Amino acid sequence: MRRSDEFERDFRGIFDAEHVSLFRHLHRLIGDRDVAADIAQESFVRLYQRGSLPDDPRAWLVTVAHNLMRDEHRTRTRRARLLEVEGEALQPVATTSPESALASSQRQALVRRALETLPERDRRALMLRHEGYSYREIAVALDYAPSGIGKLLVRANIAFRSAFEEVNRHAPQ
Amino acid sequence: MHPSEGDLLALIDGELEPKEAGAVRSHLAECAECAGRKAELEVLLADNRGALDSLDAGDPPATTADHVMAIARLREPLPSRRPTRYYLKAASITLLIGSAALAVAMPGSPIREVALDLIDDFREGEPEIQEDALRTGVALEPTGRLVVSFAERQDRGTIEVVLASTSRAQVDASEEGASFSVASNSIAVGNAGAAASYVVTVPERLADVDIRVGDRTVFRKTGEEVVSVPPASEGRYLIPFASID
Repeated sequence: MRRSDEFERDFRGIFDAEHVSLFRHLHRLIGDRDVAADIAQESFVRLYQRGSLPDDPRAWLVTVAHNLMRDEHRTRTRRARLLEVEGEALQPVATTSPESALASSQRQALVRRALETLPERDRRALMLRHEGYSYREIAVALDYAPSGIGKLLVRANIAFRSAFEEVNRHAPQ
Repeated sequence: MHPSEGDLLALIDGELEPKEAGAVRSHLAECAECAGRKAELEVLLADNRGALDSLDAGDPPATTADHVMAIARLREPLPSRRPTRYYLKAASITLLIGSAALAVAMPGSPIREVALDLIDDFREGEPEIQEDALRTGVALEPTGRLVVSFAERQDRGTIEVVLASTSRAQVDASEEGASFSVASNSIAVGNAGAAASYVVTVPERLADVDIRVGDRTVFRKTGEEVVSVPPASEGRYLIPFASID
């Protein structure tokens, strides 16, 4: 399939602008760097295969990525794998001491446990907003009414805070 | 009318239209209760942001738009490569099979010998179709030492080696012309006469990787140490075929 020079130029621009952001969002959501990288890449492959840009490429990429995540979860039992690798995958790159590395890893585990108590849409909305996606983009990605995103995010933030405090209370000291 | 918490959050996030934002701000200036709710939301957001920041994702593994485009192009269906004469031969062989069947039923018959000779002639002219011809994207997950070997030095084109945070090794070509075969820990690229450029994705946690062109090693990874010819430039391992002796 032949693609126009203009499309290829625009595609490169979107890749440069959005790849890192999409990967970061997926990595936070999935917790597995390899899977996040694969899904981010596959999302862009599909954008290129499309041959023309959608109206909102940023939101389109997130929608595709979320669909790929769902497929990945079904086929690889992602949740079990996430729990299995969580301990080693969340080690920080630079730490001042083994104790601080352990503390950081434990905190990440608690954050993830809290996130997993949220309904999937609330969790995704929270993470998309954290990565800087606009309400409009979040609405497109989640197939949700734009006027309801504010309320959705309030609910997600309150639920996350409550869950995080709960898991902290029960965490081993 | 008091704004909803959704509107207060939208105001904090800068997501309200200017006219709506102005109306909410005017209300907050006069309503201590709503101003207090807004302040509580801001504290909630700040606390949650701190927790979510602990999931800091870092940078993605190295990849480029060109790499992605190469993968997408490689998945596109290939045009039929079988020449017309192939189909004529196919029709002929159908007749020959019938003859061969008769010949088999008649041991010692001269027809048998002719039929078998014709079958052999057809097979000699049959185009060779290799497994995974012209395709990459094979999910090769090496368990030990990885070897990627290119059969020949090309007159043009490049090999770009990308160390990626992935479990899969992969070779992607920019255009048709090469063939690929895969074994448990190796990828062989039949690139005689080809002019493509290639992206070789290597799992960065693999401790032992060799990339060869003919009998020349152009990239070697041993643990964390990487040696390539030519050396890396601006973080990229880009090896022009022309630079290979």
